[in-house]
Amino acid sequence: MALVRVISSDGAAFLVSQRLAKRSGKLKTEIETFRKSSDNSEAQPEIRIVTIRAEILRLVLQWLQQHQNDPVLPANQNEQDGRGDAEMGQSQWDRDFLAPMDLGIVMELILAANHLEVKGLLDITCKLVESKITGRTVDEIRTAFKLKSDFKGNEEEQTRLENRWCVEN
Amino acid sequence: MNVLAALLRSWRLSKADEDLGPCFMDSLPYNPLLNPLIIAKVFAYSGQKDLLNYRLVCKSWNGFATSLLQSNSYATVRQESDLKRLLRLTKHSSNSFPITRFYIKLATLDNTSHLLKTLSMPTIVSLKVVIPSKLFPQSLRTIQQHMKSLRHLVICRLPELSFEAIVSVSADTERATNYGFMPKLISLTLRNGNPNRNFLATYDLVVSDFIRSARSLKSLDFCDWNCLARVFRECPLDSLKSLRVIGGKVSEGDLVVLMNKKELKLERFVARVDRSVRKELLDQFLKMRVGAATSSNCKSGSGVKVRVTLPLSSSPPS
Repeated sequence: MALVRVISSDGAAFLVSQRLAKRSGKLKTEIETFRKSSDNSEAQPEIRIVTIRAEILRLVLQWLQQHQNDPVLPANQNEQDGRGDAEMGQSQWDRDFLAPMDLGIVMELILAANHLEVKGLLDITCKLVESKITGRTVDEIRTAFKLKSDFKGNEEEQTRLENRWCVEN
Repeated sequence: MNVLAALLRSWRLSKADEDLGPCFMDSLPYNPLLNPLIIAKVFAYSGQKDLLNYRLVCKSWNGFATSLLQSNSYATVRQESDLKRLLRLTKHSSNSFPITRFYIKLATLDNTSHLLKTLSMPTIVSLKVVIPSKLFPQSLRTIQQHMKSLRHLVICRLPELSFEAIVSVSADTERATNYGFMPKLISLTLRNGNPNRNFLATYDLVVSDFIRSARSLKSLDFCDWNCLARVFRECPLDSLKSLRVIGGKVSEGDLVVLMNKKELKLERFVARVDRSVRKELLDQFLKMRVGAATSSNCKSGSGVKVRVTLPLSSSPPS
């Protein structure tokens, strides 16, 4: 079985099968680039992911392992309204997988899934974040996610008035 | 009082911190909730109320939530005061308004210019509107002039109560060819708001010009509309795929006019035909323009939908 070494930002190496790694769009491209540039077709590719630390990379690989036999959907299928597969079938395993994580880990997973192009993982983590922000006040969201109000002049007040009209009609 | 409010506010904020974790965002290389792809995925699961709320967080959230709302929410306007407020809110820029589909349903109009101003909001994509007869020609022209992004339009025209209500349309201004095209309009429904009354003024040239300006019109419906002959004659109807005449009757003359339109190829034709129509002519029409070989009360074949209701007294088709 062809293997690939994936190395996290803090130097931890994970040895995984290429078949599994190729379910990540980013790793697939990296493996193919390595193949083209390497003379020895038997050489084991080594990919360094400088933005993802070991704990998060382990979670991504664990998720990929669990979902390695899922059918691969074309990137744009089922994407008409931005919703991905999470709506269709979030398995009990996924729920148990996400349950113990605090929001900080989830945010790191989102960045990792986005960077490594793992669509299914991105879908379920985004859905989890949505469930955390729904029903919250604007101030709570701004504080929790370090988002700053950058409205100028009366833009915020105008938005507030527009919102009130929409709610009433 | 202010101190109390400030205390309550800081308590709520610190509670939010406890729930969500106070400083996890600091360790991230960048804020994922400012990445367009990620925001799109998070917002895709949100309801209208939440999306309206997210508009207030910051400018980039405002942009994403607004465009999502614009693509899938609609509003019904029943009070003239709501219409006035809408116009005030969109006075400077209607592009950022979160709703682009409106059902404007006003029973009485004290000041009709409000309606006409609404009809000049350029970003509306879908509109259902009830228009009193005397405003009909003027309204169609306003729509034609200003609402270039309109895709779906339903006009419910209320018939005149007396001849006094008729606006005279002088011969030179009646043709509205100079008012521009409606490039995106794909479906148009013209409905008589009170089927018990016929229109006194037909304004059929105004209607024809309007239909002609919609170059990519796919679906055209007339409901209880009592003046079709001239409209059919004046409009090329080249791009049309579905034609429905509900409540009125299609005469033999109308069918001949439609039959002579060389480019017309319908995929759906729903109509009640007048008892004067000969069966051979109807069959020939269906064959040439609808792609169906025979007519019957309900017939569908080769993916083409045809429903032609024949008068009861005529002989049933074989």
